[in-house]
Amino acid sequence: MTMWQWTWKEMKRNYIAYVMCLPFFAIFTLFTIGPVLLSMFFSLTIFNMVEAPKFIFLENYSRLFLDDDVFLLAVKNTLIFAVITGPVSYFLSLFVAWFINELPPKIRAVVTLIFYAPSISGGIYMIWSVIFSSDSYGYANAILMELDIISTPILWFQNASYVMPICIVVALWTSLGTSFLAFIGGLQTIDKAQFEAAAVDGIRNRWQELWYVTLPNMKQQLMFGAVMAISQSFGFGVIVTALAGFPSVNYCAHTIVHHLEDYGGQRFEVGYASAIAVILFVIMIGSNTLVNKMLEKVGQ
Amino acid sequence: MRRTKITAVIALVLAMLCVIGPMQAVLAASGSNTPATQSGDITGTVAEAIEILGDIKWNAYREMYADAEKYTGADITVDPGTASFDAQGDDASSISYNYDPKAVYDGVSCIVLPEIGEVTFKVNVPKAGLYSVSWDYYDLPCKATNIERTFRINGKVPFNEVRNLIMSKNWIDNYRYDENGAIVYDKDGNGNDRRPSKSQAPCWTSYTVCDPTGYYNGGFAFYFEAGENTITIEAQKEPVAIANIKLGAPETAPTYAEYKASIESKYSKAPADAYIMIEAEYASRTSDSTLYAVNDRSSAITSPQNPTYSVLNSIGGSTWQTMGQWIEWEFTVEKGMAGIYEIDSRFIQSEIEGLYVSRRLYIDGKVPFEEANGIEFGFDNAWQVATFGGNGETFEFYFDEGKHTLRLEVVYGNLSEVVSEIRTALNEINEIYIRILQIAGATPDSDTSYQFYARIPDDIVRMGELSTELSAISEKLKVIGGGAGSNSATIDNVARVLRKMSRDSEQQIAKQFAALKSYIGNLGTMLNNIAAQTLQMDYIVVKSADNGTALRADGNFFENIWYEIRRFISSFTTDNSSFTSVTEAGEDAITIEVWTTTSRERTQLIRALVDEDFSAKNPNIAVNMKIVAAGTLLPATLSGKGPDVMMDVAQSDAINYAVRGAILDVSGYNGYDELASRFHSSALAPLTVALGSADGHRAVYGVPQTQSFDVMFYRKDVFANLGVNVPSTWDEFYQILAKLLSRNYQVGIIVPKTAVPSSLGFYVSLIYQNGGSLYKNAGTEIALDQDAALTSFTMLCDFFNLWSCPVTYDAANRFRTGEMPLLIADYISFYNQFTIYATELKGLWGFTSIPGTRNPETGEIDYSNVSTIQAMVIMKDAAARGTDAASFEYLKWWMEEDIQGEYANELVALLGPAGKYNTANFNAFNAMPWSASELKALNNLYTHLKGYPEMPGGYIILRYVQFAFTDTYNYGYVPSESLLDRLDAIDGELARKRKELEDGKDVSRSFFIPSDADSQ
Repeated sequence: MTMWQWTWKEMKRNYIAYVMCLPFFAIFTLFTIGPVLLSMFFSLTIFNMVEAPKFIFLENYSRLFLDDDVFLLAVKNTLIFAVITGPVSYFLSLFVAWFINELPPKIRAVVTLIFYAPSISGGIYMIWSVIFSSDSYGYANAILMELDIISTPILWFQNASYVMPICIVVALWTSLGTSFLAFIGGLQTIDKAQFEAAAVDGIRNRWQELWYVTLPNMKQQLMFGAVMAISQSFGFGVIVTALAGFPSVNYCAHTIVHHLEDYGGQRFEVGYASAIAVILFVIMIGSNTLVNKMLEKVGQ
Repeated sequence: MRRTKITAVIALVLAMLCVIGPMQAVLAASGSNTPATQSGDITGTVAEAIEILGDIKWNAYREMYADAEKYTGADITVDPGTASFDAQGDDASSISYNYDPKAVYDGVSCIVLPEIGEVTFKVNVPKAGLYSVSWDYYDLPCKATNIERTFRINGKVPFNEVRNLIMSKNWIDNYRYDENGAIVYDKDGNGNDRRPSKSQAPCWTSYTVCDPTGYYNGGFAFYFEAGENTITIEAQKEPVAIANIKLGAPETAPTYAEYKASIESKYSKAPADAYIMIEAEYASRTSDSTLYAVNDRSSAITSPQNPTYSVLNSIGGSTWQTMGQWIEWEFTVEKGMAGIYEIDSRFIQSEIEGLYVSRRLYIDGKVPFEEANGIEFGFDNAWQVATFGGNGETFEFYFDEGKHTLRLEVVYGNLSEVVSEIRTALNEINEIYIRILQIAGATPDSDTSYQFYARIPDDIVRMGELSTELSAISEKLKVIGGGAGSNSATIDNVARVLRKMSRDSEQQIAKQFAALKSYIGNLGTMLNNIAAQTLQMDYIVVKSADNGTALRADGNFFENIWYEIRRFISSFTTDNSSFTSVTEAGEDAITIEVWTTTSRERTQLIRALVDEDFSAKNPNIAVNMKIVAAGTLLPATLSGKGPDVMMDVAQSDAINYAVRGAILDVSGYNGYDELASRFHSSALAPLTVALGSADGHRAVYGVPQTQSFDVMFYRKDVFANLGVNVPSTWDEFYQILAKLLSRNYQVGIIVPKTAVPSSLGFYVSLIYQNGGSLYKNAGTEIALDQDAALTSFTMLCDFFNLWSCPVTYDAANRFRTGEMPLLIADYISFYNQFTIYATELKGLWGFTSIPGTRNPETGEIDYSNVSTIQAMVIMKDAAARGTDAASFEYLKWWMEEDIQGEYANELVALLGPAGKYNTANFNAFNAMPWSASELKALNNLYTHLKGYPEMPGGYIILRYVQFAFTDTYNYGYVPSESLLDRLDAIDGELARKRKELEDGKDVSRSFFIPSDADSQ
């Protein structure tokens, strides 16, 4: 019996399970796997969304890497964003969750809400555009002018020196999202008996307790949080667009997602945009694998 | 958190609203602010403004003649034979009525006054004293706006209020009646009620000269010397016929007690079954075309109500709030039912919290007693029922048998005094604010000594007095509103800051300045809020006091629940985005699909026009309309489900789609030449390209729909105070700029910004004025390296870098406060916004063409001004479906002068003065209700309009121009170098796009600029 025959036999035997996951699988294929494959195909073509695509092999990719300065800038910006906001927001979520978990239940509920609120209330980050308004009546400009530090208003979101730092701060501010909630949930599912056992086994301080007991017990949540943090840090072009406009001045906060929007939405070059998407896809898969490997080391 | 956001946003908005409020200001207030006396070189509107600034107010006039005797004798009729007309040099060729001293309307002989010029009468006054002035007028049918006139005695305007006398027109709904004589509404394709159209129904109305702003009840009393006097009526807007001009005794209505005594002594109560129900939506006459039946869904028992369809069941709301607007109803008292009645109504007033809105009640055209000048409607978030009354008493009225009319007119009622006092105080504070601003700038430093005590000693004393006055007003408001509220708190805040500024040290003035600004901003907003007397009515009941029928304010619990459930269920079955035809199309009819991205109201109007006019003219073309989101067109076209005609397409999008073969060239269709002749050449330029080469076949991808352009707005009063003319060339502009900046004023210039695609237009205007072009080599390369482009770019950057014009600003706010008295902005959007935003500034601002560039060699001034358009396009799928010719018929029909004119008028009727529509059809644009002076300015502008061509990849230009600009602002780069640095990137993209599109395809993809276009 070959492996295929064996698989077929097993499938026939467990057909009910397959029937049960069929609806999800059909939808997943149609709306997730399909588009991914389709964009891989389109990335090898010139396609303007009105006429039939024209096959050009890897020309889009060669242009991306060899003849598109803005793309390389976008990769650089994306990596800066991802490297800073990803880990920072991840550890921030973890530690805030850990501290909050120590609070009495009622206070914990209130504090959780306070930290979680910025990320549930949609476009709340727009408040930052009020603070950093380019008008002389914007808060930041008004205060700086009051203190005589500047004499003409600074165009915060139209000055390449300020756009990135402000966007990173805002991204961090909104990043205590779903993963933070998952961490709190994870912390609460840990069996108290394990802490007692660990104490008997000679745990000396809270750090050891965290490393050897708490974290290994919430690996699933950690993984979930990591995936969320990665996809968030690669995909938060929305915040940049809302604050600094599209495109940001001198492409100073242009990320891969922006580049994709630029070509797909404004220039009608869907083939080229698909190539960008494929590269983003590869980067994300890669960093997920990397994080997965790192998480395996937790508690060892 | 959402709340925090809202609060924060509100806080910001309030903080930025600086000095809101009437700048009429600069005129009225104290004598300390007489405009600088001028040598004779001030001309045009600024000269007018200087004259207005010299006016006194009615209050002062009344005090001036407090001792004069009131005339009590019989009316003195003015002899119409003494009339003489003076056109004042205005162009009389395009007016709708000519001056005619011997006209007859409805059997009354009268004098027709056209919308221009002035007419003067002589009158012999027997005795010096105070007289009221009245006449009868006949509202000649014309544009959808009030009649406005200026009134003069012996050549002079006696006081400011009579500069803009308003006579309202009469409008009726064109109702359809069923066989029983009841009103029925037509239905649209979805089963919703369709608002009947409105038309003017002129009639004779008697008019006594009174306050158009509504602060003073009753007519004005004018002082006439004995002997011969002249009366002049000068046109501002709209023609009118008048007759029967009289000088008479200033009259007063009886009090309610007197009225009551007079009817109760003569008549008895109406029989107990006397009950007359008037559905408020069936008005018989209204003062404005915007007063129409509306749909209320908030209450289950609004009559009539329907959970599924939108039915017209009430009247008023946000369109019934401006001083002088009235609605009139007719009702009949049956035989044997005469007697004393009371009047009840069901209404909702949820706008002015804690205060009343007021209406003046006319019965059969007369205010029956003094108290009827202000019937009050209290505040509640829900519907209410109430009986007309006042001072805890129900008003009673006597009606005899037969037809009667009942009219409610918007007035301030008992708020008029408070509102007028706040307004006057606000004017003065604004003036003081501007004077401090001129000394210390927008953000004064509390450590600098500005020597306020030495420079503005009077103002500082006045601030203290104003503080006391405001506290008194706040007390009054508390009495009216029954306790302290947010409104009185707003006033108290201003009073507190003023007290501090006047009493404490000099440093306090600088320190409190920012607070003062934000508080008076709040005060202005509050004033605007309580001045909007919004009221929506469901029905009015005229009944006997003995009648026991109970009127209910709202449904009971079960009624409401049942209504909501049915509404919820019907929400699944109603499709509100498509507007199908009401009439069945014939068998062989071609159906065209038309998509638009505009609002529901506008689509309904288009639909109605299609049904009324297009279907009648083209019985074999059926039109389906759909509202879609802006991004839908591309995916729909891709999947072959796209429309035949797409409306409201931006000019760059039209060419973007065209170059990919998604849009049809319209130039070949039958009747194109005639269609093209309806537009100015600038409107067609962005849609026209030459194929193959600059001399190749010309293709036109779409038909222009709207056209917008930049103009320069200016504050007349500020210019009058400075004693300067409005600049007409850039050389003059710089002189004025220097003058304004030295007084801490700001000037608004358009910044190139990718978020606002039309912002490139201003830069291109400058290039054209300097003799350059945007592209070279027929559109294959950018021409920004030419001298003209570099000079223009330096000029643009210098406005911000050298002259410190703000890059980000709220134009409407700063223009209103006077902080930014000169501003270049998009014409139609700013005009629409500002007209309703700052009603108090009416007449004190104007607009003109952007300045021109003088050619150093010829001395000629080039006023080139770039316009951008929105277009209607035919999609390529139409050709395959065989609907392209029918689609073209639709485009042709929609851009007809009559249709565009009707649509524009309907929009104004629907949205009020802010609904001006910038149609690309020149003749239709002219026919809109502009004032004569506005029209003159616009016609001047039109001849200088230019469109700039759109080429593949053109979106990149604005992006890099913005980058180049921000580099000069942020890092002080030299403008021309900064721009030259970006050229390669722009040219690269243009070349790349051209290659991609032309690659292996036929000539239809190689777009070039026709050889005679792009300004060259």
